[in-house]
Amino acid sequence: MTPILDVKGLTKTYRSNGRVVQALDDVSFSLAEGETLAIVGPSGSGKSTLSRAITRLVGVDSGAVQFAGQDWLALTSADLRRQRRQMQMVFQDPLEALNPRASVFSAISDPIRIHRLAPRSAWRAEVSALLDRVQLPTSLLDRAVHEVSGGQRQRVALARALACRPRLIVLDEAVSALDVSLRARIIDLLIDLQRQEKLSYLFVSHDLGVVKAMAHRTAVMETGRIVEIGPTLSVIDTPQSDMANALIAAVPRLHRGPSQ
Amino acid sequence: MSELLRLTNLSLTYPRQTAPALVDITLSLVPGEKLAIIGESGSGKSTLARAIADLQPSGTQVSGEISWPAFGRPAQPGVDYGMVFQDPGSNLNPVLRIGEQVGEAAQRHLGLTWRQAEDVALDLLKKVQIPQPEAALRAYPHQFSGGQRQRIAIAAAIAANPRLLIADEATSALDTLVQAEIARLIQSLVTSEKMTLLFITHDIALASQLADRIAVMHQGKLVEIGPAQTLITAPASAYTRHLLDTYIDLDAAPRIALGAS
Amino acid sequence: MSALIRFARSPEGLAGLVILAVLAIVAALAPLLFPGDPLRIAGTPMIAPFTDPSLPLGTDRLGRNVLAGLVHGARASLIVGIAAAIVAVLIGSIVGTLAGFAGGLIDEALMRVVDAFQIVPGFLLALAFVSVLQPSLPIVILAIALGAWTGPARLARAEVLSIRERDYVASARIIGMHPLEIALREVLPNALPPVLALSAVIVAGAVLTEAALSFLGLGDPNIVTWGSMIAEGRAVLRSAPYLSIVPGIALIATVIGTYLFGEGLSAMLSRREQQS
Repeated sequence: MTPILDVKGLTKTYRSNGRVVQALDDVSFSLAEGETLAIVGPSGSGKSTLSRAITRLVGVDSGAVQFAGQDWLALTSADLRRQRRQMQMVFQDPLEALNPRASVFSAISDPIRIHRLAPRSAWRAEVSALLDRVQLPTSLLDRAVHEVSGGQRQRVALARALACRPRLIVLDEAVSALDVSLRARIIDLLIDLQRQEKLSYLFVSHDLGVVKAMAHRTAVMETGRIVEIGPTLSVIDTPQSDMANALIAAVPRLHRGPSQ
Repeated sequence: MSELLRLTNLSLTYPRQTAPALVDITLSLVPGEKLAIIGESGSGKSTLARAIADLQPSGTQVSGEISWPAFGRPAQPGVDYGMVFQDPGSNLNPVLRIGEQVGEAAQRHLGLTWRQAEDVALDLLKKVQIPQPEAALRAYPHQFSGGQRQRIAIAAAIAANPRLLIADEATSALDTLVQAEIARLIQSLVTSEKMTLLFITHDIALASQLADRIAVMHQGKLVEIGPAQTLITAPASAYTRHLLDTYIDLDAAPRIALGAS
Repeated sequence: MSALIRFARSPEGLAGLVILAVLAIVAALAPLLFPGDPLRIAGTPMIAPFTDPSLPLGTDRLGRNVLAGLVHGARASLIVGIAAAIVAVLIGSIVGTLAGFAGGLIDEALMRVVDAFQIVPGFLLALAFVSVLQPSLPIVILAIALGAWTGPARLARAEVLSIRERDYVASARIIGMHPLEIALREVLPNALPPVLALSAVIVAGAVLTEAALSFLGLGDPNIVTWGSMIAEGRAVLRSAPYLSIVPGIALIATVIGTYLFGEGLSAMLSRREQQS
């Protein structure tokens, strides 16, 4: 079965303070339909650059990306704008992820309008249905984004992504800023959606607990390279790389004993 | 030995808000202990830390009492308590050199000369394990990573040898590796310098690793307080139990159906 | 609506609004309050204020009604001040936004133009411009705007550059929004409010610059302005200081009013009031 996303040899360097930084160094991996691949690593490992490179927010120096059967990096302008609705992204900071002056309705209906996914008369119903799916009350429809709480905004952002009817969603630390009790609900919601729509997720995170909860496979990054990749439980139970070991050791555990 | 800090029926409402941010908080801090205050956003945990540090905005309505029995007088910032905040980017003044910022509390509160304060700063930078501390004295905050800036902020907070260190989500903006390092650093410093620690966090597991006692806050109220071990294994309140149940860590099972690849 | 509430909560903004409202009403009603040409002779020269009930603020050296001049002068000051500010903010916003979006060589070129205008002190630039051309109201307005547009330009550019990096702009790109729509719907509505807040300060500066130009005799000679009144009073400053002081006070009140109003605007536009 062809993977929905196939990344080969992605490389990106940039100059910062006179130094050359290798943000991505020959990164390759693939993602199947309906699968979640987690990308973990410390800050500076390149995982954010990777998510931005794949979603075409930044360019790369070399490499190839096949997405939904297309040469993804070759698309430009109108073609890219048309096709990119299939690959969506949910960002880390819910307070920055949406235009504060927009209404919840317009934030979610933008993709429907731009890609003509439904006639204008059906927009309100579509948006209401999407709000339902992300477990938000439809009374939020006409509120301004800045009037809505952080946890709710993250779900609005998810509804916006879903409005695009995507095949793949990049979740860039998408649950890190949420309260613990909300986190579990959103994760379950994401898993449900994945099952129903055969959605694929690229889940960038530094929280291994959440990764274990929802990722089928995990890739560990360090200074721009993937140093380990495999089924999540294998990476967590029998880590091969130093970085994986370090990340696992650093996760706070619910300890039963007091500190020393 | 008398308590270090005692809060009695502390309530607080921010200016122009109707709902109180803190409701009737009563707790005390024993010298040398590590108390973690956990809660979700809006629980009031940061508000509590700032109230103790006397950092609330003007116009805030406060009722109840904050007393410092061990001092017998109101506590002074820098000299009696030091505070580290969440954002490594704004903890430090970007236009001042590290040496100046770290030494400032020592110079001001211990009556040292600049030379002596610089020696103290160098010492502190070594304690918080900043590489090449002599060069660091002359450097600016932007030349350091987030984790290093947090270390420097900790050094600055303890420069005048305060009895109490307040860490307000000091690790929340850091990635997992750095968070673990900073948590370890805070733990060892507090022990070696014989300080009391008030550690605010939303991460119950981190609290359980770090603290002797844990206080749980929810919507401005103190829901439960007790020894860390007891609270984690046998929580008294339903809310604490809910926090523990929904916590996702490496010991929890995966929520996806595996094999569906 | 919440924006208006925020404005109403700012005491400075409300004070500024009151002052400006009074000025605006007075200026609008000028032809009703004092019909006819305020520059015509109304009585004997040099009548002191508060002595003659029909001439409450007295007369000047030529016997012109000071209060009529003051009220009509309000029109000139407000019109020039506001018009100059609008032109300055318009030119500045366009240039700054273009530079912020275009980047690269265009940005560099535009910023060098901004630098060139900024090097010359605004008043001298206005002075030079008016001296070269016939002084009339539109020329005076343009002259003042030439000295004032660089501030809004820099601010607009800075805001655009900052907002372009925000996550919600990235989100707009990812859902496939057209760059023009991103500029008009996502960036500009968030970038321009601080520039608008700046415009209040520009109005204040414009009013002062206009007064200074009139004082030097470079304003429109056919209308009465506070600057020209102050200039007229200069000759008899010792014997009749009120002729210069009265319009001077009006000037101060206007500048303070616009400044306070600007503070209210800033309070309205700042959204960082959330506590958590």
